[in-house]
Amino acid sequence: MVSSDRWKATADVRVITVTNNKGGSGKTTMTVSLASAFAERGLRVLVVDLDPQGSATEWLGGGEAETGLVEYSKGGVRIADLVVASTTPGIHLVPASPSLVPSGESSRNETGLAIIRAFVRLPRYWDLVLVDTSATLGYLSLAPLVASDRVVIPVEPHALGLPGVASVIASIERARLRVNPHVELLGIVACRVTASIHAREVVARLRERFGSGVLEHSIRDSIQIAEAPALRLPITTYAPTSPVAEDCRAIAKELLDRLGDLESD
Amino acid sequence: MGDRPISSFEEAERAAFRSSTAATPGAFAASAIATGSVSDRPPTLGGDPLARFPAEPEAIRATVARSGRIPAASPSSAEPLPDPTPPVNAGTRTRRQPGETAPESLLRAPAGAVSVADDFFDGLVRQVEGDR
Repeated sequence: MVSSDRWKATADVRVITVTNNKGGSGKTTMTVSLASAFAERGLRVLVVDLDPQGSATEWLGGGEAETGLVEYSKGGVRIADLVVASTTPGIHLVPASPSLVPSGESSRNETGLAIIRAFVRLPRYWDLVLVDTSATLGYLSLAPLVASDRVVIPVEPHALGLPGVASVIASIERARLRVNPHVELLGIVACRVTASIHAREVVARLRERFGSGVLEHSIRDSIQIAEAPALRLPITTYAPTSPVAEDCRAIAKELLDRLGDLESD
Repeated sequence: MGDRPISSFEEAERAAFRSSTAATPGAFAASAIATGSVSDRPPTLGGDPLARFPAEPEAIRATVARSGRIPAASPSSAEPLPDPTPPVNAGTRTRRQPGETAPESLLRAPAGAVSVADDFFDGLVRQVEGDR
């Protein structure tokens, strides 16, 4: 194994990847909601949208960028041209860009490496960097694991949502073994939890299998999760006093507590 | 916290470059090596999202009706006919068994996930070492 410290992103910035190899698991909802809840707490947050669908970009009020991380990694783009302000104070955004999807089959690893290099180049300005990923198991979901400190796995409490969690945990293990021994699971978060028996049973099964890896708090299902993106506002801004907004804040606090615990290791 | 002007990013970026040789753009020269084993595919962007649906709703309705899923609409029978077929599991199960909701098989990584990750990470290592 090569020395992996060189892959590590800047030491003072916590890079947290939000990922699940299952579509519709709540990755973007979790990323945007956490970013907003962290910003409410006074943290400077950068959201990096690595999903070519650009949902986080849309949600936070950014447009599709002509240039992105891939160009930035090569040194031809200034950070000021890469980062845009979002609709929410305290949150900046690196929008999804066309270059995330290379035109040739052979370019995927190069693109993955360029993304990693871009993270290494990020200035030490933000307190937390949150990465929203593509659901597909491939370079867009694996490259962030090389540059990340921690991983959050949102999961919709459906039986078929579970293999995606197992897939990410396997990827984290492989990343730790081969390229980034620093990366760790920060938490598994049940997202869009309904009052159904099935949802409760799936969450119980997750706890049985992954123990304290599953956060105590979860995000309940709410129509406000669907409404907020249309106004390009995080849930905590769109419906600040709603129960689902409180869920987001509780999860942010729980994750920060965990980060604090980890920092003291 | 605060929203410092964007120019602050540039200052911080310059400081980062000065303090870390690993962060120089030349430290990681890209090569053409790639394993080609990962499976992300370009999404379909742009265009009319409804373009895939033919502009023949009646034809679709008739096709679906022939399949038995919904009755065909007609001027004389706007109300859907009741489906005489009972649900396949109606009255057969009243209580799930422990583990039935999420069997162990769903809590294991899908076959191939580990090899895809290994291929990608090993490809990165080879690429960086090849750059040296």
